[in-house]
Amino acid sequence: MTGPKKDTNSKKEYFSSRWMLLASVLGMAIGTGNIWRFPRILAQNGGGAFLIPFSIFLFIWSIPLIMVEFSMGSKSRKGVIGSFIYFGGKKTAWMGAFVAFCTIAITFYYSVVTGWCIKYFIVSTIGGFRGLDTTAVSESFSQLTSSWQSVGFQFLALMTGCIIIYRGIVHGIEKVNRILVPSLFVILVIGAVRVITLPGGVLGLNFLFNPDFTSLKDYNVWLEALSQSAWSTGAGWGLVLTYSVYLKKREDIILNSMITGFGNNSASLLAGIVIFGTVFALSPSADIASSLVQTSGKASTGLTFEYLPSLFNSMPGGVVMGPLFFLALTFAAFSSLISQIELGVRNLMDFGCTRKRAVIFLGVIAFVLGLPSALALGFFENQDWVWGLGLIVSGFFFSIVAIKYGVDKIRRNLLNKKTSISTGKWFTIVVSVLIPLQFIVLISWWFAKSISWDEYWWNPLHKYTIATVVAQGGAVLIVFLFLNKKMVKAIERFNDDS
Amino acid sequence: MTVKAIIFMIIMLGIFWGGFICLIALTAKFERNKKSRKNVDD
Repeated sequence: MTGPKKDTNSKKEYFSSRWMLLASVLGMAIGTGNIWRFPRILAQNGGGAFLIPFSIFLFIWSIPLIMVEFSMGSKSRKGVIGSFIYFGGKKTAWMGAFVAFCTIAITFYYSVVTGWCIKYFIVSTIGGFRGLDTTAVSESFSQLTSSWQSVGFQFLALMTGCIIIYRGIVHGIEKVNRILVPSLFVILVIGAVRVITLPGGVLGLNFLFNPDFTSLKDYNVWLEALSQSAWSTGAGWGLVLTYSVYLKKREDIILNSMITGFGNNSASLLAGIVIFGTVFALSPSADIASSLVQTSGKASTGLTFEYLPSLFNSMPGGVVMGPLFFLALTFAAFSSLISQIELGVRNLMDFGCTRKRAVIFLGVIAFVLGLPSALALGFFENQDWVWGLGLIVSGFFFSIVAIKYGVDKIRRNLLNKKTSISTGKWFTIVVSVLIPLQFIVLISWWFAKSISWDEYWWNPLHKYTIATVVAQGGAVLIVFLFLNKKMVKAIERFNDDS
Repeated sequence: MTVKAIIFMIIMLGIFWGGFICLIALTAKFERNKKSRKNVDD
């Protein structure tokens, strides 16, 4: 094992208080997935009953992985690659690099989504959607996603994110999340209260909370709940690990992890109330509303970027609600984007880069490699499919490294030492047995499902095939396996030098 | 809204929002204790 020695880059900064750490971690976890993905997945998978498996997976996937990430980052004081070396030994650097790459690859197209959110906020604020029906909004979205306008907003999102990360933890990340996260919750609460008071808004609540327990017999509902929980909380992305590098020594990891998980799911529920309430209150009939909330649309953005703007047009007070909704979406996207940039920057700093150089390098790379997603929706969809699946592999890698280090050792020495609530043996069982098991089941199901829906599943050039996942993910894994020794040496050399 | 939906809504909001608020309150309590211990030590 190669424990950290002196490292001037990681020694300097800590979150100024536990509240600031929690705000930042919540900002990371609550993203666009809570607002646009959660309602759609819930609607497509049994409505209210979906909340049952969604809640279970919070405890047997997301919270345990968040605890592992908090433990690794705060102990090793290194980014993902350095932490994997510290906990899993020198031969696991490639796993850490894969985790980091997956999240950075998501940053490439997530910056594009953040740009769209900014654009929608601006347009709805100046009344640009007024008088437009769904077809007209849909056309304007198509124009946005295939034009240089999308690139401009992607650049704006990335540049702002990079400036914040360049300012560091206390003056950048903390200051921004101090405003974004509480504002996001306040906006969602205002939105929820407004839509409940709309005539017909309660029908949306009925859809959201009416459990059809027979749907729980469908294994798809369980698997979708697992993937939603993994994506939504950010467990296994390496982002919690990155923020926990800046954790003060005496922090309560268990309580922090629970707050992250519960806060994330609470935000999802609020977003669900806002979206279902709006759609059911403003649609001509409950059947139309029900089919609308299940519609994926282009890149699964149909409901958010095509239907909601036109629905807000017909809503009393929609002039205020529309901009507020897109402001919440922008805040959610932005607080997640900055954590993704910090992950890349932290890893580069572990290789000896200064923060300034790392930010510039990452910003340029993210902009250039995000261009295809900004200009072609098909490419965007492909990347979302490939690296979204990669995240499940990332979660699995975290459990492998934890098993290698000793899950019980993590529990006794890292989790239960500085805590007000202690964790029992269940943690060891979940991380060493249940998470690997869930990974195997989920990956097998996905592969089987994608073979059945696409006759060209063997073609790596098709956007939603297994072949494209294996080709891209496999290529990245091979490259990092090949570079394993070099990465270890580079991190060790920098530690020795500093 | 059906009675079943109302009960389910109370349970779900209770678990997540109730849990979230309780955890935040617990954290605030621990932080207050930590601060007062530190003041006594000083």
